[in-house]
Amino acid sequence: MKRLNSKEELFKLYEELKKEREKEKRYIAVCNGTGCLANRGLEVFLAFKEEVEKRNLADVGVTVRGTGCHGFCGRGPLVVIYPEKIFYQKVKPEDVPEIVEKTVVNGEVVERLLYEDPATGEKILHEEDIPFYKKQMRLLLAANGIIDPKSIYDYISIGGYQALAKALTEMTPRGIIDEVIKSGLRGRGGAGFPTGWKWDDAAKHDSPIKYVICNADEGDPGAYMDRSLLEGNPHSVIEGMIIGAYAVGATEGYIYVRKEYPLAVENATIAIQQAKELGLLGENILGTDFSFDIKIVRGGGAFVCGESSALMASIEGRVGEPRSKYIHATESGLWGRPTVLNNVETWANVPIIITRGADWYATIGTEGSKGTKIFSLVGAVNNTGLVEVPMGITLREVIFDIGGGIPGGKKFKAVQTGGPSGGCLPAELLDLPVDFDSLDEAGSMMGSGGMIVMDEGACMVDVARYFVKFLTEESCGKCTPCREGLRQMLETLNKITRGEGTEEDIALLEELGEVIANASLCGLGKSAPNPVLSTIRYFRDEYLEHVRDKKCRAGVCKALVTYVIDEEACTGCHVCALRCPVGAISGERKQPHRIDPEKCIKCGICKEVCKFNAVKVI
Amino acid sequence: MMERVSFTIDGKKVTGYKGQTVLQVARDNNIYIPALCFDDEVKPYAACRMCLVQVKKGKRVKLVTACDYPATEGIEVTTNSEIIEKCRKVVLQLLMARCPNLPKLKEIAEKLGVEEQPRFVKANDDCILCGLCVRVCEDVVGVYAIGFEGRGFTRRVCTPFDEESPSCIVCGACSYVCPVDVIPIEQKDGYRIMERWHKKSKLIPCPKCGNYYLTEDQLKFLKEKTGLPEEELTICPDCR
Repeated sequence: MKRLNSKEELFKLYEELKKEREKEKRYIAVCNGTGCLANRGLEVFLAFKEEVEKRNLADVGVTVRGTGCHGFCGRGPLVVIYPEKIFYQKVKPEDVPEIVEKTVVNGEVVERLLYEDPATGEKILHEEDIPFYKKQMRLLLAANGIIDPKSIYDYISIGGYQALAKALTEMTPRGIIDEVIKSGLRGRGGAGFPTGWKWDDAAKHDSPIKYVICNADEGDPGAYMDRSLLEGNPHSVIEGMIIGAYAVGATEGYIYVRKEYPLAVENATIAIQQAKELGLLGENILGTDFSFDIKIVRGGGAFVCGESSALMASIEGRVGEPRSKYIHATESGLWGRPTVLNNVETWANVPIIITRGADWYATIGTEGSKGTKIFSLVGAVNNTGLVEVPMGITLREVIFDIGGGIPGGKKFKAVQTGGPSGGCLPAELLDLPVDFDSLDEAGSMMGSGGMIVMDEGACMVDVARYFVKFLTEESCGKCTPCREGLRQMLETLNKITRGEGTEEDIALLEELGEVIANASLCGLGKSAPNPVLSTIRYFRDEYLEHVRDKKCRAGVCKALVTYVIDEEACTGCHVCALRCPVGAISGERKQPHRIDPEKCIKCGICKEVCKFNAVKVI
Repeated sequence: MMERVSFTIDGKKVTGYKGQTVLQVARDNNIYIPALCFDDEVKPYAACRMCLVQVKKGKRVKLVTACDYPATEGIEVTTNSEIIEKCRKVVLQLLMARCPNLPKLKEIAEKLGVEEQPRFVKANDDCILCGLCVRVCEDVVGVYAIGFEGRGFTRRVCTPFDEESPSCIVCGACSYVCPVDVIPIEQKDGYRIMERWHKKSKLIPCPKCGNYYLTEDQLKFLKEKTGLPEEELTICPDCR
């Protein structure tokens, strides 16, 4: 790789690479994101390579590109054939010769691999026409599907590092900070602090050493947008960090990424190496007198290390424990130096703001929340995956238009936003706009962007119990309210789900919640009561049913339900009796059966195996 | 000359020095703010959360811990409000549920008029995890003999692998600083014994008065650290 010594050299390289890309008559983008890889995506990729080689298709301008995550993970492995953007889903290695023969060589479509809209039954040919993608606004994720994350040339060929060139040669550090302030960008890690202000504060503090940190310690169960960005487009994050470092006067940067993200670590490591070789990182970037370097630190996987002060403690080699932030990290952060810590997604927004301008960026989103946000849409929803939407879109649009609604004809019950310490919002709030302030007011939060959809089969008390259990286990244990308070909350919720709760227990949960939220040391504790307080706020009836009537309407809390057989519906097929592990079901063949409540252990097998829906939970 | 800062606590004007915390200034001015994990000799830790106060700075009012909130010119500190009292009450109740048999906690509870919360599940621990012993051992003594192990509710203070600590010098500083008096120290048959850290060390009599003053491990540590001759180090403070 030849070092780029000026902006002009970067642009020259860009023109060359662009031309080369234009020569590609057809390219096959195979998703190599973790979701697809786990589903034989690598085999699919290698099969394409082999097939294209076997048929000497490279000579006629066919290339195969292993790309980052395309987002529609529930349908992986995904393959998109360019330039037509023919979208194939659930592709197996065995399908590859057929795709190459029919689509790549002859321009025909393999019907059975197309996406079929579950709502209409219609087969959809192009990626952008699929409802899952239609309402999205993929600013950050767009490049994921078209570049090989292991190739810096791919990134440069689509205009990569031009924002950096602009920042270094046409803008002053002050000008960059003003631009970011004007864009209205707020931190995507959870708290939503205005990024520009943070940079402004760090820039004001004079120090020969300053740091920028990329927080890639994404730990929310089910959330993986930062992972996909770092895996699929690491250069966008690195470019953002270099621009940020130049703006605040930092000389060193760290990417703190959890070791459970091996592909993210690998791709970021390669990206840093390549950027250094090209002179985009290291000494005298692009021939200017600005120098900056990035190191990768792998985290051990503690949830609390995603909290900024705990993260910095961990980088310093100390126990990952938070500290009070009355003196901000922008004044005294990593090793006591001014430090700017931003989340992966926040950094990836920076090049876009610099390239397209704050004015343009600020047109996206709402008054208080600008730009797009990536969500991990998971749970009881038809289309699961990564969804990037403009701020201010409603929950309904995300869940029903993009997510395709609730599977199995069930009813929507709640959506939890913001990860384990987010709140659960009910159907009445489906038209709530998704932005920092609206979610906060509703008792939930943006968090890092988890979105878990629940149907009527979810018991809200049990859901709260589940998340409090996670948080109890992940509490570092430093401060009393989080350590002891969450444990008492969990004990109380256990009591309620066992049918031993009273109305006083609900009041106790509310009091504990208020104290934990107010008195805890860090964001983990302060937000931890959200699942409990929000479910009490919106689903109080269910709590009351549990403590007063000793009933669980969703049939989840085993202690509160009884399994019975509906005599009308029972055909006496005897399957349930054969499968019951404790012999609690009796009855003559072709006669209605019955369950002995004394013997029944409520395992639910009878309900699962009954073909006539005769087993009821009451 | 240290820079002075003035602010108010509960409406009363107080003056302290830059670098002090709100709690330190409050104590210097005889204003009581309960705190369990604070000691002047070590860096504040803000873990027990008993010292919560409200600070008004400009227009913003927020709940902060007095032990590590810097004394700042012009702030208005409130040590008692509905939310502060509620937090203090529940925090104390939570500690009492963790450690139901600590006279020191009961004393504070009585002083603050807090009663046990009968609905809390009780544990049978004696350590409130304030971390003072750990911090004194690290920051003041400098031997790192004890530390935290585990996280969340399973967190506890112990020696490495819960075995006899090779680095503990049985100085007793941890025992001295413990706010709830649960690190006993015993002198028996010419030894000083710290059961909690599985460690004992032979006592050395003062060459002048013959009273026991320091342990063998202490002497070894002090010799290495100060380079002073043994004869000088073994003389007890009374005979110096």
